[in-house]
Amino acid sequence: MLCERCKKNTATVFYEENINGQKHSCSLCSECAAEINSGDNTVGIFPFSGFGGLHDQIFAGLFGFNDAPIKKSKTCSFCSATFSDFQKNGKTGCPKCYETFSDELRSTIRSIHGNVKHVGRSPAKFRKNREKEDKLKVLRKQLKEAVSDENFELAASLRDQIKAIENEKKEGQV
Amino acid sequence: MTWYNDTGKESSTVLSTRIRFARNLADYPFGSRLSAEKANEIIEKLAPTFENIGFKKIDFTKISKLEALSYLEKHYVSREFTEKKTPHALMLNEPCGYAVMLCEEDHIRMQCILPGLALDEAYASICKLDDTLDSSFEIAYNEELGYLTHCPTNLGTGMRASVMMFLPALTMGGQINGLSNQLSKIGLTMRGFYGEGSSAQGAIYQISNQITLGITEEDSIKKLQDIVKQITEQETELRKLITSEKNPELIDRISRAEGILRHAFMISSSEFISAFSDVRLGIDLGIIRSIDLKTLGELFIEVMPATLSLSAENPPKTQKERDILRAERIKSRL
Ligand SMILES: [Zn+2]
Ligand SMILES: [Zn+2]
Repeated sequence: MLCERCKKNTATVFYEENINGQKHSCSLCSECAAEINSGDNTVGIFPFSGFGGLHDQIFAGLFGFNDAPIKKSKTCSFCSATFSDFQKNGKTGCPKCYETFSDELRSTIRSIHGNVKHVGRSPAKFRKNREKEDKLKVLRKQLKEAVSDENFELAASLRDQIKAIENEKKEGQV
Repeated sequence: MTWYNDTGKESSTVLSTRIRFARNLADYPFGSRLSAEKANEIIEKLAPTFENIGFKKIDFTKISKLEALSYLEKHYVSREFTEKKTPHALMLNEPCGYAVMLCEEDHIRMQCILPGLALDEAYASICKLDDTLDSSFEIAYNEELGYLTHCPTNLGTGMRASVMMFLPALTMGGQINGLSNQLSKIGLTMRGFYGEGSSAQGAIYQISNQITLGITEEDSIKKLQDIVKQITEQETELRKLITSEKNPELIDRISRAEGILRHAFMISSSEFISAFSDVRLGIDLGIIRSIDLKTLGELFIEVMPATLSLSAENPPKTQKERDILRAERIKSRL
């Protein structure tokens, strides 16, 4: 996703704010974000907020703009980053941050990728699991069809196969 | 053999192909929260795995600024990497096209860079390296978000596939902006070759995938490949058009560019890049026959400021001296 200000660089900093119940978001590249933060700001970057050059308030203010009660900020148990650390530079602190802040990050991730479910390569140990998962999906679909076709012989055999894979999965987790 | 010492497939429009995977170790904080101590630990942990398969380690905290910049000019490292203060190292295996940055913003940024259009080959290579890594280390990954990266823009596959294209006719035809807008609508980006945000010099552009989550590596690569082929067709078509008509201005421009490379006493790097571009087009159009693409491609890296200075017995001290040296070097190679 491109920076909404310069329309050239990749956006890495994401703002979201709530004014009178309306959600506004803005995505900037780090350069533009830094520029705004350093005060070289000209009006028109945040058409909805009317901040103008009040740069000190940009980061702190965008999220608490409508005087919403400030939530006690969560801290990542591994790297001790907070969500406002993420808001400052658009980067998480450690792999665990993605669990800690999964709710907070969801809209950002969606605005970048449009899709929040990974497909593609994975480490070997996950790969095996996913293969089973995919196989199960196919079998379950076939089972449904078999039942609606009243092909009970096939349905029974499919049920057995599904059970077998589910058991394998359970054993794998132990 | 390196990507810049060779020409590959589709060499009239494609200079090089690069695929990069971003990976992180599961039990360390990311780049910006990584202490010097932990960064060293990661490097010591990872380096032997690469050294065992023919990589050499370049400790970036121990090399000169000039050397670091030369690796940047060769596309092996990012600009941020050359400016980093905390421990970071480059693992390099040039014959295979591998360059792996350790402790950039992600712990591991592995790249495979090959000459010409070689997306499938680069992908196969980088996957091999990824498998090696996967069998030795616990990599940060979750099933929802894929490979976990410092910046959410790389989540999922952590893959950036890019193709460096040479598009002089489309540039002259004023079609780059339109093209760039079209590409961004389908999740690809096009930018000038000299880094993010910089305008295109020498009609060289980098086209890469933007989205990494929710699309497989193969699909992403296929999309890029198809687009590169389409752009190549357009560019080729347009090149035929500009030559089929009588175009003395173009022939003059190309001949003058050759004149600069062969005879100038001082050449700045931006002057070189624009002459490079005209001469490269001239070779393709059959206007210039006495210079080959391979030599020109080698020069493209050899006369970049840092690489040029490093190669000199007495490194130039001023810009002027460097521009003189550049002109000498080009003359001697053509
Ligand atoms: Zn920007
Ligand atoms: Zn964390």
